Amino acid sequence: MTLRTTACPRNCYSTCTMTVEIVDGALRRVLPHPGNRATAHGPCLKGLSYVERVASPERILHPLRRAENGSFRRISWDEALDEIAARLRETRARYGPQSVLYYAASGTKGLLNAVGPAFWRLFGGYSGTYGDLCWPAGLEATRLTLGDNAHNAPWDLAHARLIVFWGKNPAETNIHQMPFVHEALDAGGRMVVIDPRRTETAERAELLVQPRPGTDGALAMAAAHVLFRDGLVDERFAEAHVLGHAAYRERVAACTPEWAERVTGVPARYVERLARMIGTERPVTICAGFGMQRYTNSGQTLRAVLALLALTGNIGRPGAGWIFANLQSAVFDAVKDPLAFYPPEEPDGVARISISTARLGRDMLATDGPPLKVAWVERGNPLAQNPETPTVVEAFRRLDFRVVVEQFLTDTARAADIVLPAKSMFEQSDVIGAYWHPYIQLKQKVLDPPGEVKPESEIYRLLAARLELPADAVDAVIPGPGDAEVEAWLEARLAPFPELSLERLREGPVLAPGCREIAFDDLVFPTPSGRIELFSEEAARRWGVDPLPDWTVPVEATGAVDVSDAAASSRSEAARSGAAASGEAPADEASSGRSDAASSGGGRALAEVVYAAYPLHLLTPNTKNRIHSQFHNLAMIRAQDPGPVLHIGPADARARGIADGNRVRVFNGRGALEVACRIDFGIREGCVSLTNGWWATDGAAVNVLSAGRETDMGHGAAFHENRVEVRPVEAEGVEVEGTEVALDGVRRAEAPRA
Amino acid sequence: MTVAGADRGFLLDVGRCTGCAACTLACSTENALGWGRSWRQIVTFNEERLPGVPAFHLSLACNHCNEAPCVPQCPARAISRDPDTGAVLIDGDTCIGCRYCAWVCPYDAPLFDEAASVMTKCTACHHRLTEGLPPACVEACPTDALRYGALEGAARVTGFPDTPAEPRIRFLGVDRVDSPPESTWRAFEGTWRADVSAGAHPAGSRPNPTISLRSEIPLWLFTSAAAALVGWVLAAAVGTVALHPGPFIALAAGALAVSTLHLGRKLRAWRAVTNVRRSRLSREVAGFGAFLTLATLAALWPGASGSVAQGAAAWHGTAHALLVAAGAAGLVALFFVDRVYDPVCPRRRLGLHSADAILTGPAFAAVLQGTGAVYAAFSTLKAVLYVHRHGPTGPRGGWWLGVLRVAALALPAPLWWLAPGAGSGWAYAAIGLFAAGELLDRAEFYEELRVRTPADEARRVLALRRAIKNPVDG
Repeated sequence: MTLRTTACPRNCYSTCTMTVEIVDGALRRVLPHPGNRATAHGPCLKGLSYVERVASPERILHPLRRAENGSFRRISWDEALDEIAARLRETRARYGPQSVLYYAASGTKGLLNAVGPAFWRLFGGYSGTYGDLCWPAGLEATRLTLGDNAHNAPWDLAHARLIVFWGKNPAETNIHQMPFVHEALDAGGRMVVIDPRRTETAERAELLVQPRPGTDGALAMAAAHVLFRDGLVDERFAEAHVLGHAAYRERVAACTPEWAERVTGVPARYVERLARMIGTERPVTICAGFGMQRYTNSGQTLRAVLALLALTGNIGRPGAGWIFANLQSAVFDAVKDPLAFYPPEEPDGVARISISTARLGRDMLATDGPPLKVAWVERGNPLAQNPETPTVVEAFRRLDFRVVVEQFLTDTARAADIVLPAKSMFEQSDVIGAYWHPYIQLKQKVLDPPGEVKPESEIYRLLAARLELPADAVDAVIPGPGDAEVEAWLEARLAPFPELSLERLREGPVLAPGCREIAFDDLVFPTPSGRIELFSEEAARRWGVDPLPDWTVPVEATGAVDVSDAAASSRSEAARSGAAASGEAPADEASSGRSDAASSGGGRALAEVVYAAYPLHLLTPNTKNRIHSQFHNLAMIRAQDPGPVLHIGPADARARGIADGNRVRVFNGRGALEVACRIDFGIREGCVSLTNGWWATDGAAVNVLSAGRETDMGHGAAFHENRVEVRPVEAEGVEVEGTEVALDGVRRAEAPRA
Repeated sequence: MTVAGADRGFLLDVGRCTGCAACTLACSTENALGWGRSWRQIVTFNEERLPGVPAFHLSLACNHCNEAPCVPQCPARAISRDPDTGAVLIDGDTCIGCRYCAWVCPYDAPLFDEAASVMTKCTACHHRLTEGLPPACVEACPTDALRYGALEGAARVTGFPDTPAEPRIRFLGVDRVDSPPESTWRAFEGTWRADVSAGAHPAGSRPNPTISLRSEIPLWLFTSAAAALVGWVLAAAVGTVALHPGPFIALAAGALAVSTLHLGRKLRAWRAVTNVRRSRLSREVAGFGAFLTLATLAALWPGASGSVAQGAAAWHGTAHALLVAAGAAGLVALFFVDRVYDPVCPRRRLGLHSADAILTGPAFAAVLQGTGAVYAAFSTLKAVLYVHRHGPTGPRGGWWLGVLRVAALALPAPLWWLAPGAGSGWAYAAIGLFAAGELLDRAEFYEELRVRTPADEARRVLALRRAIKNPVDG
């Protein structure tokens, strides 16, 4: 038995340090590691389920070739690599290297992920994606406002007197934040949760604000209105450190709580109460979730929320601040997120980064000169997780050849011609950062790969040899096959930082060089003005949005948003075209670097009435039981979460003749799925909820319903803006298909102007 | 007597527990229970998020109760308390796999291990406790909500079964879960009562241990046969019914053999009588054993031979004394049979169920003998209990089941009038009809049995809270 230190590389806030017990070359136990102050109590259930995940009988242990009938048969590495190399040569010769799509997602983190793009550059080039499914709108909103994505150390939350979880449910998605929440509450702190659902986190709050999805910006602007009106703005702080606070006072002058009540559905007295809590408690921390910034208006929404902290001086102090993303450990990145998500302003002719992640299917289909012929997918499951699944499936179907590197037969792997077995996190060392705590960690190799599994670095080397790529060029970017070579490669990356070495990292996590426990405690903000920018010229220049935080009606506005009132003094008609739906615009939008939400053309202004056929807003939150589409195929996780369930409120259920436990059909103009439903008395009327990450094989891959469109800034995916209708399956006699209308643009309205 | 380690146990901070289930996975791995199986479970109170009612979780396993009902009730004396840690442990080498501990535990702690065919349950990781380590579930808790140590804090929390077992668990942070957040969304007020009636939400993270006819066919057959055997001996002892040794012994042996089918470890069946002093199940087995011994002796006694066919009137001396003693022992055994089901039978009235063996045995004797008055008394009692139990809605299977059941009780009497005298075809028809009705009722009895669990308790309390909070009902 040996105990080793490693770290979980999933796309998750917590990025836990773990002690693992290895017995006879197998993972026996996953244990807490006290060296990480943020995750000292130990990993969540997913971390504990690694004992099954690495040894699961469903794991892919050798290359697979798909047959005509969709089944897979085992093939040797030689067969697999020979066929892949032959296909790549042929495609490159015929269409050029950019006819190969290299698609990698967030399945696992690590510096070695860089070998993928490096290989494809040596291959001669490739096509790639820009943007990201996760968080760009919020990152960009934060960058524009504060200059950088950094926040206080996780444990500092214990010092907050008021914690506002704005669209975040850490009890499920960041459980290691909860001990600090409990500490703050034990010390007399207060807590508000803003979420259409009554989440696990909300049970600890004194107030649960349940706005209509997509209206959080209006809520924040009305709260700012109250702060100004009641003299709760920290004038001295604002004067010294905030650019544009006076202009913002004008902007929100007409955004009264009564206006917000009509827009958000939150009674005015609660808007007042929320604002007064933020304005009178010191210090205040707002933790903003990622789900809220997957809307077409979400960059501006997050700027409006962040403004509340700027106005009350809750930045740069213990217990105060904006917890969205802490990229202080991203010390290895040449270009830091979110800038790394943007397509290059000047294409280099080798890598064609022209496909929006948010519109993956449509953009793939529209790509020409050369068109896409081959796809290589690693660390991702785009056929379940990217918006508008039907178009993604179609785009992959149209390709000549698909290779997927995977641990399990996911929806994407099932569509592959060749599936190559992927390593698990325990089978190759790598160095990882985090986005919540500021530690650099070594994800140590503690097991040998089982079966015929090879790490990607080795797969690329073998492929490079078959493609006769120059050996010295390969050696320069891809580590050699042995553990020693991998470690040497990692050491070279650590070399610029005297604080970091594999030696030290082997013992446990190390705080990132130069990280600050209290972000912006020097009140120096790396913005153009050096101040917190409520007024951002860059926002207007880069994204075409108002330079001040603002709220606009989301494209798929929910329920009874009173558009006529909201638009009372709209600055322009701002009707937008249904670019995404008509499938024309993506290519030039991409090259111009502007998001589609911002590109308001003169196209048809579709009235709100379009969405009357789909009156429910589908929330697709994450659950404690998965990281996106990972983990739920394990028996340990299935025991907690046996199958997909749609949550629906009692009034919405009754209106549709739906009883608890019924099977229901969830549909819109884009797709449909069938699931069991559960009456949930805590969910806001007009909203239904189905966790994302189920596979098509579970019957509930939610993105068959979502739209491929970008957020207003950052090239994020606005796929949480998703309207549907729900019917009991038994009542299928109702002519459902007939009511389905295409979902595309709708006229935009803004917050009222004084 | 002080209980070892009585001052130590699990501490659950219900204000900190998020129901994340890490504890259940850690338990699974530590104790090699197989992926997806755990001795620990999460019970969620108010999963459906009823307005005005808080929602929280209980992470529960064995509470190693000071007055643990499983210890005295184990018929094989396989459950004992570890003298050092106070942990209540099941000895897998002694356990016969009868599952009775799961029936008597109010906390749904014992689990049947399919591979080993014995019961298992949380050991409080006593192998770790003795090394000074906390239980695996405690070590794994990401929010530090679950601890193990000196008992302090509240003994009760909403939804946790209140029993006299003195569970060694305490709840912290109870005041954190006494009120839900104030929500800005209240459109459902006054309307939700009607909707909730349908909502039977799973409150536990694992399925309830159910008792059903399908899972208890051996017990169904055994208890039915026991009542019939006792009835036969009673009819022979006080009436004129013959007791043929061959068929009697064959039926008795069959009943015993069938009863062992219910055990995980059939070859250890003999251990079931090792705890007569305390275990209901042991008493049942011992009582039935004594009855069979006496009845078999009586049937084979030399004085009885040759005259058995004439019934009790022809019996003499020791043989008859043995027969009467067997009948008495049989009634005691049937009483013990019924007591076994006390912890899991929720539908008795005045302590009686229409399918109770103590009623079926004498009624069967009356049918065999054709004693109208006795039969009328027992069958009327059974019919009243049956009808009262089901009420106007009738049995779940359909109204015709109820008609069939009552007819099977009522019709044997007219059949005797049609053809008085034992041995006639009509008499056999009466016996067959009665037996069919009893098998039907006993089958329903098993379908009604229910192991009460913390998840049930959470649901029950929530149902009460619904009623109180309902503005329409006032």
